[in-house]
Amino acid sequence: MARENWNSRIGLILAMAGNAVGLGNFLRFPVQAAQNGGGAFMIPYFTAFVLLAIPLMWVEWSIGRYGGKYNHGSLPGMLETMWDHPISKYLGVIGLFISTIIIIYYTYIESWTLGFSFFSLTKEYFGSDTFDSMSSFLGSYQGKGEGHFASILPAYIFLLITMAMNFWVLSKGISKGIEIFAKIALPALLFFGIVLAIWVFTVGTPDLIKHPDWSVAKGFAFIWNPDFESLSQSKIWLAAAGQVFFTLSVGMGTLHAYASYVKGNDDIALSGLTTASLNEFTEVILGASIAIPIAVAFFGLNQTQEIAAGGAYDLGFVSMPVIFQQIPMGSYIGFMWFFLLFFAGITSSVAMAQPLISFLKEQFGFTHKKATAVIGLSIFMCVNFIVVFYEYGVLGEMDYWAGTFSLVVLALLEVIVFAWIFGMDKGWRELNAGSDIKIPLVFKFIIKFITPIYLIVILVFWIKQEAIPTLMMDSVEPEQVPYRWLARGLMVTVLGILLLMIKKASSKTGRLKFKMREQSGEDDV
Amino acid sequence: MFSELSTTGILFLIIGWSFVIGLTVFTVGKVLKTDKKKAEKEQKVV
Repeated sequence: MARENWNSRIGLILAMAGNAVGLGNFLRFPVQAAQNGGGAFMIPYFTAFVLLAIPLMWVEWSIGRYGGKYNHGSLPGMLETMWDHPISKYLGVIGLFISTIIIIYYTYIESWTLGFSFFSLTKEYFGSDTFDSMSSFLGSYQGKGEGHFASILPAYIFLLITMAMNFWVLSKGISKGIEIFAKIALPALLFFGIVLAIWVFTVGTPDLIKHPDWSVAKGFAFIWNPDFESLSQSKIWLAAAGQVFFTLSVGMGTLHAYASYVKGNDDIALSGLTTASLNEFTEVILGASIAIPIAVAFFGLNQTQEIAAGGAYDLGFVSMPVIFQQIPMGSYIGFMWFFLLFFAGITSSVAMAQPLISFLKEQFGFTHKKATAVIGLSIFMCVNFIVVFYEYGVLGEMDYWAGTFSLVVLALLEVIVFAWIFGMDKGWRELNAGSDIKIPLVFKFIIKFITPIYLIVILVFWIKQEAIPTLMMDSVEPEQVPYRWLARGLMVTVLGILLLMIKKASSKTGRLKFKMREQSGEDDV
Repeated sequence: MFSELSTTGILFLIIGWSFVIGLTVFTVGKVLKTDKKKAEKEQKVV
């Protein structure tokens, strides 16, 4: 049966942009910018965008489309087609591992956004109008201590709905599920984002008498006024590199999966750049114009700095609901905020499940529906671990190893395979095949030399500064230690199962199953 | 709105926003233009 294709380029771009645009665009980016030099953060940010994110994005699109020609929709098979060595397919397991682990905890956070959309409309959190009481509301929702909710049941119900929606979209396949959904969700997300940004612009100074210094203008100044001294600190450059990594979803194994459904000679250079630019529009223009400026207007600069230091969840799920209670039409604006986050989340999470679904279909002959059901049930079983032990830091543990550290490892691996093993000349031809734009030749040099060196520097710094202390659990509270080990056990188990699956799939010939792609518009859903 | 921004703050905002908006308009415009051309070409063939 013919391999499925995207129905239209616009659908592909929206799905890819939906994959890239996530909660981080609206929550992580403004916090990172505010904490790391304000306007000056944009210098390392855009440097990393050009030298790291854009080249990696093109590399992943190229690997994906190339692998798709051999009917591979996941990284193990893709790497094997580019590097004829027995180990290549096993190294490709990182692409399956990262997306599998991330989807396990990401869907849980995503379900909070759906829950809080509902709570905004029903005004469930109205009354929790201080930072502390709203923290307690969120904590009780997550099952961390007593508060508004008597049990974790509401969180569980929204998790079930979120998972059902994710796997319903996935069950419809690429063109009839993900593509159609992206065509609805991404424009809606952009619309909500633009409306919210315009609303923030109109807020001005909410309390001129008591707090004349608390204003949206101060918030913009907080984000954009540069602190040039910070540029001399390596942590700012690392933070910026980390942010562009997360924001474009590179190093996760998901861009490859989507790109594998691009037809053999269809453009990837312009389409890839368009998804990156849409993501940057959402992040730099919309993301930076909503949460931090409005927080400064309602909490002042000092408390906003504390909120930002507390992380993205405090900003999104605690400070914002407090603000919504103080403004006219707050329940509707709150709904818009959380539903915007939900759309940002779900368009990313469906992408995370796709590599696994493709792997089961291509290597074990599963039908699309069966592969989706098996992955859906497996993910659901694992999510329970996060829900039950959330208060013991298991999500943070998994996010660090799978969602942060491994991304750089995978990115380094794939850029080496692409530029040095597959060959830069061949890779450059693959990237430019069917291209609708002429990529400047300097990117050939950047992909071969600059990007790998940049990644090695990041990896070395991260190992030294974060990975070793995190591995040793230096700053972990003693009661969390056993649960964090359990989280590590779960990750190792997932990795082991995936490796065994690759071994089993390649047991007959030593290679993963492949076939040259039939070019057809028909799908196999 | 931007009254609290320093001169360099305004400069950074203008450069950052211009880069992002410029890139978005260029890429989206180019996609729409090439898709339109391709569709016209296909129609002629039919």
